[in-house]
Amino acid sequence: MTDVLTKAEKFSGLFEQLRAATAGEPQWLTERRTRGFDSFAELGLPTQAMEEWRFTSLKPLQETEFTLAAPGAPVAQEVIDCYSYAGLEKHQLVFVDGIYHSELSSIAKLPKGVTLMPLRQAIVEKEDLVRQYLGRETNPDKHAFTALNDALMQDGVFLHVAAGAVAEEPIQLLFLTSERGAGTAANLRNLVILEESAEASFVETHAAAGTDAVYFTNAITEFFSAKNAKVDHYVIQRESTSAIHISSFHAYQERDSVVRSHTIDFGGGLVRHNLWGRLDGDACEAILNGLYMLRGNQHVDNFMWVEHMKEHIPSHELYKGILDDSSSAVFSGRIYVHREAQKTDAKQTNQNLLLTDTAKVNTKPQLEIYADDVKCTHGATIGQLDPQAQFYLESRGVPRNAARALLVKAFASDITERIRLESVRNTVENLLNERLGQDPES
Amino acid sequence: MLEIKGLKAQIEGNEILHGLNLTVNPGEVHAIMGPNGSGKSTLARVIAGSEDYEVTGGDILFEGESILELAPDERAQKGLFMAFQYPVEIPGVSNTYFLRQALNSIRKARGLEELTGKEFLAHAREKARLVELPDDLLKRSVNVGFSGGEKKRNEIFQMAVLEPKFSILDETDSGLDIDALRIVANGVNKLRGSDRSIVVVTHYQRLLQYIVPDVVHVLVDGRIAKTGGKELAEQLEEVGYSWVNGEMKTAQTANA
Ligand SMILES: Nc1ncnc2c1ncn2[C@@H]1O[C@H](COP(=O)(O)OP(=O)(O)OP(=O)(O)O)[C@@H](O)[C@H]1O
Ligand SMILES: [Mg+2]
Repeated sequence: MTDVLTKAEKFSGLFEQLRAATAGEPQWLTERRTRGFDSFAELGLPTQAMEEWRFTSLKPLQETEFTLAAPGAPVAQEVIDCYSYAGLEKHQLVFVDGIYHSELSSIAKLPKGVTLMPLRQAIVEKEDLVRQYLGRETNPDKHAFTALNDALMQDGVFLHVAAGAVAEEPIQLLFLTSERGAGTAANLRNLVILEESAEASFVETHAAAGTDAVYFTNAITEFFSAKNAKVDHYVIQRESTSAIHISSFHAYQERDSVVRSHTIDFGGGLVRHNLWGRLDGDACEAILNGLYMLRGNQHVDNFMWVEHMKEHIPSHELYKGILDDSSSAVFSGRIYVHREAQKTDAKQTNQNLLLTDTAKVNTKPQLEIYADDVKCTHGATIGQLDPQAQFYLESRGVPRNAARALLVKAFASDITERIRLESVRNTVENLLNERLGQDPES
Repeated sequence: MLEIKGLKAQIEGNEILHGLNLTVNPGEVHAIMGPNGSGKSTLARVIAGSEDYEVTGGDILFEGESILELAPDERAQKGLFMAFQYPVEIPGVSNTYFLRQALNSIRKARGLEELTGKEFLAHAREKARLVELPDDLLKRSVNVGFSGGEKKRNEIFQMAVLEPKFSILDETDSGLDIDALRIVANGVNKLRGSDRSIVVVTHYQRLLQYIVPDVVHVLVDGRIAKTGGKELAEQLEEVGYSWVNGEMKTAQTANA
């Protein structure tokens, strides 16, 4: 059985099924799917023999047979309310089992120059733009999950903000997996195009809505930030602890643009985030924040590759992890500074707090520098709660669990404080409290 | 109020307290003096419930009940307080936020209503004035970036907020200039009362001019070697600990 698993047959049934369902698609897209599928057949799933996958086993993915979800699975309103953020209901796109659910979604009147719709619709209505940008930053010939996504992509969000336009209200995306979604593979594809001086902000939530079973999310998001464009991006990952969640986030930045991203993981059984940044314009800026709080046997792997290609570019990556029980995390980041990228100011930090002796972290921030006038630092720490600090708090009357919670929240505060949207910040803080056995903040 | 009987405590296998006896009655102020390394901080930390130490003999009774089995927070909830010789810096945890949680868990344990943020702040501001602690230190992370003197004042501020029945202050006077010493001593004196007991651990007679003790003990090598009135502190200041040591040796030899 197992030797079938790394090969493409595993997903070929899905591919045939999807091919029938997408027969009316434009020729270029069908070709992209075929190329993706062939490439995946050749590449197979990554193995731990590959340096980039050394500490992450895809066994749970190999061991499951996946199906394609049918559209229209019901999700109760309470579930939507539980995962959505107060004040961000204006533009709310809900995807259930990987497919856009129009009844549960609402898109209010958009400012001039802003186009927001599911990708499926954009393929029809905005074909030229989709064709021009989709896949520009990805490489399906080299990366198996990209190939798989090309072959099986079903839906996602499409956002285009014309030059000078501003999507003032944050856009909320809910990717939910319903009871019917158990055992399915959802290949999400998001495309975000910001023209010169455009601005937008996004909150993306991935969550289980009524299933504890294994399911597989393979998401790709491509971001194009033209000159002086600004984008804030939040991912809050709350999948079920059996879920397999693979994501790739590609950001292409032109001069003076700013990308601020936050990747926050509470859920998932096996999680891998790939973050690719190509900083291709003078003085553009990338602020990449991450927080993971894991328990049980959860495993989260953050892989990151940030290329400085022009001058005067600051990039700052701060990823912090809190690991309980037998959970494990991997961080591998590389900042690659091209010869032209003088005056680079790059900083990459990964800090981890282990709450037990059985939690594990492998961390490796790296620099590769070909310019000579740069300021680059990187660092990683793995530590435990300070017992003296804990004793201090307890000796004043704070119970042990509450004292631990205070210290853990203090550790996470570097990241939570950077969350600019208040309702998102509150939710993250409440999730931390919940994890730490504390009541939500009054 | 507090009764310590034959207390033996060790750390990493080294016995530091070798059968220590000490009784502090309600309303009394005691001073403990003694050479470096004699076990004064050990005693304070064992009373507060530090798990770094193992108690291998004797007992500590608070209001007649043994507290050895209680966790540090439970001891605090019963009304015990220790001011640290070296207050710990805790980045990211704000002074008032944590102290409100501390006070509320103490109040809860005593069956009192918890204080709202507003009520707590009013209470905290009043106590901060008592030790002349600047308002901005209330909001800052616990002890982070505080000067040595500010840290010590913060300890007494916390004591004032929590209103413990029994406090042991471990060298709260060390590192204080004369003004700060007066402020801290004032704060402590305001907390004196017929139902409160305080033990001050100090190397300096100077503090005892401000906080006049009822009883002075000399702790040498893990035992109380001498107990007397406030004049004992003055004697010590003049001649040092050597004569106490000498007496101890003689006593031990006599016992043997
Ligand atoms: N982890 C440890 N292992 C062994 N001995 C220790 C350990 N920690 C402390 N000690 C010893 O315990 C003894 C008592 O220390 P303690 O801090 O109680 O002294 P002290 O009377 O408070 O001194 P000071 O006046 O300098 O504050 C010292 O000899 C010290 O070296
Ligand atoms: Mg000491």
